[in-house]
Amino acid sequence: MSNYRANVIWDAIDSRSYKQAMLHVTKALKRNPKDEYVLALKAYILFMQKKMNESLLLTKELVAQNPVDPRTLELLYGILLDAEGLEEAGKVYEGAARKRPRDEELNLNWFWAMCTGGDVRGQQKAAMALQKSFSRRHYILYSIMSGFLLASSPDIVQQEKTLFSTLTYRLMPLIEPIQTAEEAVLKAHVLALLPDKQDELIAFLTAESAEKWNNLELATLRLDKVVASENWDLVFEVAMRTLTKELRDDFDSWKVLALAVKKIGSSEKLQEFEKLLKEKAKTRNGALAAVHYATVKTDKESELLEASKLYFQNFGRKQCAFEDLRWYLTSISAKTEWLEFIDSFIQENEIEGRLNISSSDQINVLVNARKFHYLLAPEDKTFVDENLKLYIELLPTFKSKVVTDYHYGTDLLLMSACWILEGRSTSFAMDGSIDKVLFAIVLLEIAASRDKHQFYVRLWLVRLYMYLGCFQSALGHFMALSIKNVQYDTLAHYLFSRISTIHPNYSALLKTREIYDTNAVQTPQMIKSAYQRAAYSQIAGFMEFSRRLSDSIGKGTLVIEAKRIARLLGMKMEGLAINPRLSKTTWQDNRDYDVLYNIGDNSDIEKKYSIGIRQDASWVKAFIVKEAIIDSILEMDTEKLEIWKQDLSELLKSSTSLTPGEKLSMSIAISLTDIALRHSVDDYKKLENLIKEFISVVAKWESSDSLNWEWLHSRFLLFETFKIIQTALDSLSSASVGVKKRTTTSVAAIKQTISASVDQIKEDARRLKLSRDSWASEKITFLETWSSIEELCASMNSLENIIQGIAKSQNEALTLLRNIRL
Amino acid sequence: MTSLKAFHAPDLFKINPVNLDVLTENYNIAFYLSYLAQWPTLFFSTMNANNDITGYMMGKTEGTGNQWHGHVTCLSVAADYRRIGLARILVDNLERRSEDPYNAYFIDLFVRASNLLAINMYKDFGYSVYRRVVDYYSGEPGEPSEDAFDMRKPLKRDVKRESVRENGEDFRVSPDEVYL
Repeated sequence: MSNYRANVIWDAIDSRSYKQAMLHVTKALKRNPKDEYVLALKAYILFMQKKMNESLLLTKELVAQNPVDPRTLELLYGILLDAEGLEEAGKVYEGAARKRPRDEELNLNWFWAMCTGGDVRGQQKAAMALQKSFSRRHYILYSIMSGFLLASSPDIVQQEKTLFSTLTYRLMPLIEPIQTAEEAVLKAHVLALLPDKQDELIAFLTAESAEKWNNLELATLRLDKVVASENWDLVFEVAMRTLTKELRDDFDSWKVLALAVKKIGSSEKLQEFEKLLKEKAKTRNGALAAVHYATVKTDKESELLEASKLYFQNFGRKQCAFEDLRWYLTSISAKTEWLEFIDSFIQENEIEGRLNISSSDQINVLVNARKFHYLLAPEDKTFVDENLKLYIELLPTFKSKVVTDYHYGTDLLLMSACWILEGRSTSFAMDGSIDKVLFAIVLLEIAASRDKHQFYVRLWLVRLYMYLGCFQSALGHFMALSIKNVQYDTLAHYLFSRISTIHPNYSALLKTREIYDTNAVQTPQMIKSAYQRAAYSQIAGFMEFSRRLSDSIGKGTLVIEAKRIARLLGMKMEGLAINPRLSKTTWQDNRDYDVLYNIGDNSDIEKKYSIGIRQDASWVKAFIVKEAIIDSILEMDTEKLEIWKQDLSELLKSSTSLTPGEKLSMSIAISLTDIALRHSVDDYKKLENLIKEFISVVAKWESSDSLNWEWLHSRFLLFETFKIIQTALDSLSSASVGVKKRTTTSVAAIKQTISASVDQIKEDARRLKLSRDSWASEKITFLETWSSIEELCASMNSLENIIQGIAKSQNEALTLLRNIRL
Repeated sequence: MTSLKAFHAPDLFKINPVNLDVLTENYNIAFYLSYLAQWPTLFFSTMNANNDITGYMMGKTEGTGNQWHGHVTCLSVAADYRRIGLARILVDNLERRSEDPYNAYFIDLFVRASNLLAINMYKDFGYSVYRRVVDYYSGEPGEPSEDAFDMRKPLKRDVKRESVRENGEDFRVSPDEVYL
């Protein structure tokens, strides 16, 4: 087929005019019915039209003929990769390579297809074929690299690991002498695979020939492997050389040096180490090494405290001081002694001339001190008051702040917000979690108004506003963060967790999808590029990155939420189908929870204000199976329903990340499956009872103070479930005249129950909406009694704006709920 | 505490404390990975004891003849770890690697002519303004564009110190004359 005709077909495919594309293909096949490429295009168009059975039939017929045309292979590989997975897809190229073993370009294309398809096993096979048939050095390196990848893969059994490790190791002599640092890294990684080659590995890494590469990766490997060998004299030698001869001030080297000194137990080594500590006492790493050594050499807390005091005297004026010392001091028993030292340090250094506070060094010491109080004195009722007092004293220093810079004083408000959210003692009374959240929001909004780009503030605000069901307020702060690219995968959950059942918003969610499409296109090409540029130290990382994004829980939840939002809002659901095969994916969690500001030792503060239990792989799987069930019922295709019912039942038992409402919605899906399979009146009755249970559990009327994400989640979830039930029942009852006749009464009863519940929920929403203004006034009055508020807010309007903003945002969610059409 | 580590693609999931900074650009996947594929030795990070990334350097090499040099594409440090010398550690390491194995003549970087903080920092590190690239940074709509200073530091190979120029601020070039 000519390129021109092919382009015409591709133009139609790219613009999703599949019928048009198929017309062109049909014409082309009339001219040449055996053209493999055109047939492959036909299979591809059928695939894009979701005519899977037809597409796969044609694809497999073509594969059986072992085509060799690269365009054909690419198409068939893509179809099988999506439809049946790596192993089946790989056979496309294997067959072609068997037919033309001496075709270097074809074999290389096989290798590239395996690389870009993420098929580690296929990569190794193709690389070995290349290496055996064509004598090029870089093909040997490809074999070694792909052999290493396969041997390190979590998807192979131990026997295979041993086999491929050994095979790969045996290729190493073929590339000697090593020509680049990248090859040296590769060699080290291969040696590390084999337990009986560790001496050889260490000899290689510590030899002058390896050190001459001046390579950071090799240096890191050297230290790690030498420590793993527990040859403490060698550890001492390597670490000491790094710090003194290479003049690389590496804290990992300091740490292992301290450990080696203890393990060796020789006074000579100790003296050498202490001499170095003394020389470097004024460097940050050196001072911290002394702190670290104090924890290694003895259990006596006094030594740790002394070293920490010395460190603080030199570095307490730096922002990093708290983070540096925090992990060492978090569990000390002499908390009071440490806090007294900090406070006296401030007095002795006259930092407490608070009216004269102007230098950032002074501010840093004061704020660091408050952080230690947070960490070590959790019972102090005056903590927040003291923080706010200090913040107010620092207000004049905000005027000279560069807009894009941060002011460390903002941490005083961040700390105070976290203190309140943790439920620690304060001097003023707060009832319930909503009040705590409101206080925290007010503090953080004040912080954001003066330190615009302080992202820790914004992140907490996104989280807290979503906790209150205030999507629009949260969205504003999320947008201020200017999140882009990979950040969508790691941070989108702050805004979009359970978004379909809190504030279904399709357009905002769509933006988060781009990174996954980009990953699908760009990363495979970069893997190929890394091989071509012989960046062997990077390839494993590229493949891990690709897999983690491709199988990201963020992506899984996005795909599910997009479909659920479309359903709720009555949008078209074309293009939102979820491939049920995805329920077998090993989902990867890239979400960043650590970035949320938290300086205590309580990692639960994030969970306390999360939007339901953290959605994990089981959540994603359960919803994928549920959607598969719904689609099958609507398409009246019961072939796999029994299997999916079993899968969903298992997931329901084992999942710990479904909310009570979500669990009930899953049970309802299972109930619908029973109806689809049996059409018995009893099953309809069971469904009706489940619906009543669902309503009674999640849709209780509660006082206005309870309006938060949970209230909205349960009601939107109910509406979503009602929509599913209604469309499913309409589809099921049309199965046959007999079924319709038999089930009419049951269906009517269910629909009546739903209708009554919908009316009640909308009425509840209306009453809540009407109560928002009085709720806001009540909260403003309450907050105004807080003595610091007047000084903190630029004007009292700020406080009103914040609370009324919350009420407005909640109103928008309630309006959205009331406008859902069922 | 600081350790230097080679950067790998999965580290892109861990750089939010650095990249949420308003002045730090978040590039697309291909940009980061192309640097890792082409210059793996010149892309590295500083870590604290918790293995959190506290800063990173993206560098590259370019040019021909005596214009063969290392380049600072992106240097960024997390807010809590500023003003403790991390930038110097990162730049120092780039200089070392640019000398060995890349055998470069000099290191250069571009900085906004108004960014006095960065300019003074690099001057402390031994860099000087080599030339002024007029209108290098295009402004937001409705805002004027801004000149860049091309700052350079000679490495050992630049024996004649040709990458140092007196009054570089007054030596004006257009963006077309700059290496791509």
